[in-house]
Amino acid sequence: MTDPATAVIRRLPPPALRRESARRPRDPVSPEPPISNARIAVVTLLVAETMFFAGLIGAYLVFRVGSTMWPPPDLPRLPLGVTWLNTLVLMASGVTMVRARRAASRDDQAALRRGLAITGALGLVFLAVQGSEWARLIHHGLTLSSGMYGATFYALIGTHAAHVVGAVVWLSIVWAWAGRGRFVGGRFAAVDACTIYWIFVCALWVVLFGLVYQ
Amino acid sequence: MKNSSMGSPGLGVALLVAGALLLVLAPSETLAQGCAMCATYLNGATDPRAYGFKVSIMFLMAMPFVVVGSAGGWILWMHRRSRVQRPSLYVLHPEGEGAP
Repeated sequence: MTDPATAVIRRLPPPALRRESARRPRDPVSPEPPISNARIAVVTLLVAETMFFAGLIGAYLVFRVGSTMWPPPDLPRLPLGVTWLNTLVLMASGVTMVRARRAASRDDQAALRRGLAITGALGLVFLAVQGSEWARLIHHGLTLSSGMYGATFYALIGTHAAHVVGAVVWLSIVWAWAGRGRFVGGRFAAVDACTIYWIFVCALWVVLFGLVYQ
Repeated sequence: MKNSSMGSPGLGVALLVAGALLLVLAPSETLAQGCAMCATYLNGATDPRAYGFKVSIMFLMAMPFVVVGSAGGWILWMHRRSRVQRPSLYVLHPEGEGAP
């Protein structure tokens, strides 16, 4: 005679089959949650990031608004023309990232890989131009220790640049996964999360550019 | 069974509102001094640094509401949108008709 508890255990599929069934799309009768777990995780991260940058901007506002002369006359001016072009590069990367996500939703693997590669390349161009401009500014005497102007500039723009580096690393991982064909069959949560983060980094740059460079 | 030691919740709320009103309606110069750091660092309202502090404080005060409000609004919007877009899970058939 079969023990009822054992009977329940026997009814479960073996582990390999269970893993396979977990990868299959959900049964249409049990609906998908309105917001995926990956999206909620990224949005929670972005809420924390936004408050972090709000703290930095708050400190910047104390010194900028409270100062009678900003920027100080003895320090070099920030390169506006090159940074405008660099802003356009970053915005273009945002557009290509959104296109890559759309390609993932269409299951167009070639367009997804191409879009991710172009986005990563544009992000690297942005970082390279920022780095070269920083080198010039340091050469002209604007350093982290040259008063509150230099300190707040490098703190704000440097933290954003660190976030762009993080976004490029994340993007390269997603690109490698896309190369292995991981985002087939409408499963592209990693692309979705990376797109949200990239758009955040682009939007944050618009705010910082308007605040610091103007 | 009712807990007699808890008292009425309405009384607690009324006391809270009365306390808040007392703080708001009874202006005191000591309350307007702010923290010790601001009082010693800033030289009165005409100091431009005081304006910088004010702008920064207003910005930082508003940001949590903006950020949490935006995230909460987005979650609410997504829930409502999914409720509208989701098709009905169960189709009601007349008795016997279309039943498997």
